Amino acid sequence: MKKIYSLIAVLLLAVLLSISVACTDDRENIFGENDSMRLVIAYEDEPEEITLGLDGLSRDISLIELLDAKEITYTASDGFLYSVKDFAPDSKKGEYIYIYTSVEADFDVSEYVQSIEYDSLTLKSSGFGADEMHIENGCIVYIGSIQW
Amino acid sequence: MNKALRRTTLAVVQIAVASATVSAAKFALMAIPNVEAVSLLLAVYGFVLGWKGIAAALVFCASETLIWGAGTWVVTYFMYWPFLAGVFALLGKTVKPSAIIATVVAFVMTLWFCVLSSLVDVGLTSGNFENFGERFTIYFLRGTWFYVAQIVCNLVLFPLLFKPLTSSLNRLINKTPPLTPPENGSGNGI
Repeated sequence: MKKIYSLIAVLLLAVLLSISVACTDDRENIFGENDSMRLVIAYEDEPEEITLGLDGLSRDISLIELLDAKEITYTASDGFLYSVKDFAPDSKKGEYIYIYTSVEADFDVSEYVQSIEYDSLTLKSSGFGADEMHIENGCIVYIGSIQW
Repeated sequence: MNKALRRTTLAVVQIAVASATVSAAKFALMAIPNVEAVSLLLAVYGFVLGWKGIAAALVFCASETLIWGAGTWVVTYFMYWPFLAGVFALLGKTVKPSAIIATVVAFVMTLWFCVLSSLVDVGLTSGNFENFGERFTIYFLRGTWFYVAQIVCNLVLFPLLFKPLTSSLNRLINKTPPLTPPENGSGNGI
């Protein structure tokens, strides 16, 4: 009987210790109160710039998750964006969304990289799908289009 | 030191050393996916140490969680490793050390580990039971080569090492000083 009690004691200790790990304070990986990014939607007439506050969001958030969190409407499949808000390039005419970013980690490193100037900054086309693009404090993500 | 305290101390030390060696074995083979000596060591500890082997498995699960953080695998670990040690603890009470029996049990248990880890991952990460069967099948088949590696690894390790390790551990435990000091009280200073 004493062995069973000892085993139950070890089991409780091990499980409680493991649960405490799951409750670890992860605030270091969370954006701060004043953190924000700019989302630019390149409408034909005039680009729309939206400043999105990042307070409380995980630093691991992807662009798609950010759009979800900020309730910005979009359509996407497999990380490929087809529309954001009212911006929906006509794929029948060979027009597709092309995303530019200021986050260096996401720059397209292939020979097909494109770049644009926005607000005195050089943004480069993303090498990742929207579901894998990173978000940083102060970054700019420019939703443009390309004709194939 | 009185008899009860000495027995408790011995149990704590055996559990600590057993779980530490399992963790060390895990680290040593970590670079090779699904090639592991954890099954073998916990089987040996369960077989020889009985309930202390199960306790060592629990300590191993907790220390792995402390090292790597929480994930769905933690649930799998807590469900599987103490169970494996428990099965071998029961074997230890009923049969003599046998490489064949140990290998057959290890094969069945490793197969169960592969199914269990997929069940837990699909059940906990996808959040609902719609198309569970299809999603489980895809998830399970995707890991086939990892499971094959783990099963082959245990089919090699158990026939070769289970019996020598249980014999060595038994010898080592039998060499531990007796629980009662000699009549003349000279003892070993504990």
